[in-house]
Amino acid sequence: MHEFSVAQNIIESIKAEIGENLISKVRKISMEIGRLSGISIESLEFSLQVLLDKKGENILNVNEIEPVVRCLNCKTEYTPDDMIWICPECSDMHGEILKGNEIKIIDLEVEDEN
Amino acid sequence: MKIKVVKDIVEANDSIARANREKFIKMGCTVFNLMSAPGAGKTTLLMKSLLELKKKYRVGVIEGDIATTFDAEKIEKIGIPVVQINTGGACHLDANMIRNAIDEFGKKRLDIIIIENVGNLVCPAQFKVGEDYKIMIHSITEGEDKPLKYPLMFKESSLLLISKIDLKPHIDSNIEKVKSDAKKLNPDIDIIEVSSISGEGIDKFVKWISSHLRRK
Repeated sequence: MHEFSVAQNIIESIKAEIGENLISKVRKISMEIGRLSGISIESLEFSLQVLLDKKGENILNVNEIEPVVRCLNCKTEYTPDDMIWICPECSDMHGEILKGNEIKIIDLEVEDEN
Repeated sequence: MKIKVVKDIVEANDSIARANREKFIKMGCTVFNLMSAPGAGKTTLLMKSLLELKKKYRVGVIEGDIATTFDAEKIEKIGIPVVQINTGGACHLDANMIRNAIDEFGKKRLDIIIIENVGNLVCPAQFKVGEDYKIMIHSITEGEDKPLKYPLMFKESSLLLISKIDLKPHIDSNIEKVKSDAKKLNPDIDIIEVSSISGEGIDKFVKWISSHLRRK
């Protein structure tokens, strides 16, 4: 249940941003989630629904980010198929993640107060 | 009404981890984050190694568990300062928990802090806590497909300890495959075979720790 901890984290961040009293008015959370972040989107959605008491309501809007790795040897940037990284140019197996690790809140849709 | 937030959960954790790291550097101690699946033998191996390490170094332990203080009690008994973190359900330690734990060591001078993470192969790899090195334990009873099933853990670790090797004669497990898959995921990973029962490899592990200390 990794996602449950992450969902708690997300809600704390949102509270810090918009205040405790608006949290029940959140209708939609838009996020960027990288494929390398180890997050199951379905499970995160479920956790957020439970924590916000909105079971069954689609609350999460996700933009999935494809991983991009930079070869440490020849600096080529590529999208690996899996976690075994082999540079398509020089076959070196050392790389650093440029993209694909994100767990990022982008914006929120909140019910108007009136 | 739309509200722009732009809050990176990973970055929020990483920035606390960086602050922890600076604190550790100031304290002059080197920090190892020990991770494995539940039951790989983290605590037993840690106990064995602590008995050796404490002969030469001032060692502290941060013990992460979902619940209970069993492990911390065992470590305290051998005279090692230990701070217990109960995550209360969370499946990994994060940088903020470690930040709070550091202060509990007070003014004690330490050369080494070993963080025993929550038993889990997924999320501890995702959350930096300010450590210098990640160490993972894979026990041979877990089977040879672990590296490819849980690649991030193997990718992030500087050292792979293959544990319970005293069970080799009883188990049909392809250790060479584990090693070669781990190297494919992480060409720079060091690998040491250990057994807490026979004591094999503990000396090599202790030597590895010694050679990775900031203050020698």
